Amino acid sequence: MLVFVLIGKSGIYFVSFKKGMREKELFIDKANQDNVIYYSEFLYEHRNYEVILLLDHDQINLHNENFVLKDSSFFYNPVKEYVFNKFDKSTITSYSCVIGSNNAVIAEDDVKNDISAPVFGNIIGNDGNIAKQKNILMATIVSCPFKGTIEILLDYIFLNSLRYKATYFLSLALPQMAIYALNNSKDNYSAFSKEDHGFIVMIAITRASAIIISFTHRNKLLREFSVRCPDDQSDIYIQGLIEHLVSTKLLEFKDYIKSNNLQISMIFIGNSSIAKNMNDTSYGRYKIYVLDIEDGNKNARNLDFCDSKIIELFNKNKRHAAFNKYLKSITKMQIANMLLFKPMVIFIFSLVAFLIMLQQNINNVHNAIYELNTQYQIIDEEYKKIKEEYPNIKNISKLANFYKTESKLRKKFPEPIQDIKKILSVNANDINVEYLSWQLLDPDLEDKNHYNNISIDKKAVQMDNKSNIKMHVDLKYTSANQDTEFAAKRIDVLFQEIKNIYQDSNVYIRQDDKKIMSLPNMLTVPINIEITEFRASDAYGIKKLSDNIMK
Amino acid sequence: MIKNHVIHFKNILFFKILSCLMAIIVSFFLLSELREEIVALEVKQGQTENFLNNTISKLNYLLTFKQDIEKIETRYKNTLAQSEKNIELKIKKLQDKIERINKQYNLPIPIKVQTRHNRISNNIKNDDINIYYSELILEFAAKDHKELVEIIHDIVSFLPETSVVANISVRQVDYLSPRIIKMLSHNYRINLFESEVRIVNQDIIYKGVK
Repeated sequence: MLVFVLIGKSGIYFVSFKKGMREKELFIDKANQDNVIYYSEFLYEHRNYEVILLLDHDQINLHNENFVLKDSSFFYNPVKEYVFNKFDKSTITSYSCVIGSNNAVIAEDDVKNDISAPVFGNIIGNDGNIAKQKNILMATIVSCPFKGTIEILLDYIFLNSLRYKATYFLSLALPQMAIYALNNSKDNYSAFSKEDHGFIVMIAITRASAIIISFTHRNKLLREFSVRCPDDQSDIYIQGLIEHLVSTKLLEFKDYIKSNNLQISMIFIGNSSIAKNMNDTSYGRYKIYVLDIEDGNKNARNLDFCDSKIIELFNKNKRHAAFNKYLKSITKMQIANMLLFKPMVIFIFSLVAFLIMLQQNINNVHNAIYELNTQYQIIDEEYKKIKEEYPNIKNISKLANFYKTESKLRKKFPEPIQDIKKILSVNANDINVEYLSWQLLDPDLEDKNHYNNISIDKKAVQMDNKSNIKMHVDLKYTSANQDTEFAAKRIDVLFQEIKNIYQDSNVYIRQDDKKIMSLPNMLTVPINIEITEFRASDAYGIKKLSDNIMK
Repeated sequence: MIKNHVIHFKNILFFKILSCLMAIIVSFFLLSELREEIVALEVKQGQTENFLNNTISKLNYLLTFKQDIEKIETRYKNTLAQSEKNIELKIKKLQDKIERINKQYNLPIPIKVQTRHNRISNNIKNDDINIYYSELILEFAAKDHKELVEIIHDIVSFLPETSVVANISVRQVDYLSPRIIKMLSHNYRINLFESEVRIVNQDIIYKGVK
């Protein structure tokens, strides 16, 4: 959401854009432009929009300067230093630079027309073409004093906390705008080629700056000026005026165009009959491109103004922001504000959200504790009832503990005899049980200090009231028959036998081939077996009557 | 005029950053406080749950033995008075029975009895009744698997209701152990199946009695 303010020679033009679409516009003529009352309402309506100033008023000065680049100083910017030294700190300045190229005959023109004097005289050659040298930096510097309408407008913006974004000079944006306009031209009869980038004459009839005529070559603005648009004259008069002005200036650039063999293209912004008429005259020899205005702001004579189109073009080609000392400080602070403050605010909001979540958790725990206390009160009521039934027994709670402990001792654990008998039953002539271990792992029996060393699935044991039985058996197959295939078959039969015996258990059989010993007339194969099983212990047999009470 | 705006913007930026820093500091302070609180509350919740579960469990027991409450009370009083003596008596009886097995199987080296890991279970706090666990380790050797199984069977069968066999290990000795050497030196019969049986005795004890 942007508000563009075009401060032109004839007045100020305000236009707001929302999501890339033109929303609202306002024109204040020059007589009233210093009175904030005329535009305060518009700006107030758009107080959340970012404000961009586009300067094209009378007090703007344009200089073309040439600088020699020192080889050793890549980061050295002579233009910046020049601007710093030459202009007052309050003056708003901006510049665009072009490194030496074949369009630099401009230097000759500049001297001839006294637009600006070159800083280093020795860079102009005899033929006047200085830009053959690659170490030349050609800068277009634009400046205007910080006073009058700009000061009043910016003061109003800052005073009312409106969102100032940047200031630009229209002059510096014109070359890019011209190329962009040509690239996006809808004229079917003139397919735009790269050669047309040569010499561009752009003509726009605006309300804020009257008739703007600019001459650009590639990215370089050669000349830009505007003349008042007489309201009381006919289209033919205005057409004649434009033709006269363009012809006069083209004469100035005649040598430049000729020496560089440039083709002239003309861009006429606005669906005006003037452009069509020009095409029919001697201007027909140039390529004339007309940029349509969909919703032109018309004056009393129904003349199309293209302020919004100009701003639209500028919006797509914003370059070379203008600053003075104060605007630079403000922009820096805005960047700091954006880079520092916004992430900080996001961080703080995240922290606050996390705090709220924690508080919510605390409330949940509080509620859970309250719920538990309520349940306790219900249980306590039941206690009291039982106590009332047996008034003689004082230590009823201790009796409950005693009974609980007794019940715990009555728990029936699995016994080892059957397991040992089963394992020993695999003993045969060729199979010998060398080691056997039977373990009952139950948290009730184990010292809690030793829990960490014992692999008991405590949860499984407690939930299902089961004990973990773990058996480890080392067997040895010994045979005089050294046929390994026979031994393997015998061991497979043994494995199957053990698996059949312990169908409900997890049986892991491990046979390490490295430990197989083959001696004359004897083959020994060690076999390790691990059997684990959760086996039911006898439950305490306590009726869970309190569950009904809770319900 | 614009100079004043610059100063104003600087002030605003400074106070914004200051406020943000303050907010962050306060948030971190609150964060640590709330985390401490939630940890404390969770501990409290756990304790309350345990307490409630114990209470529910007690109530379940009460409802179960309500009819026999007077008998329970008598047993309880008896335990308070006699628990230590009962344990001593029980261990003595066990030792007598082990002696009988020695004679019955004519074991050349009698069953070696060791006690260890005696402890009191960590039950509910402030409870005067607790379980006293004592472990007996029996070591012996049998001549063959049959005798081994019979001895283990006899040991298991004479165990009182509250004693449990927790671990049995049997190893067939195929080297000269000190026991074998002793047997050979006394010209005893050689028992190659060395066994170790761990028995856990559980007894009700009045708290404070070791």
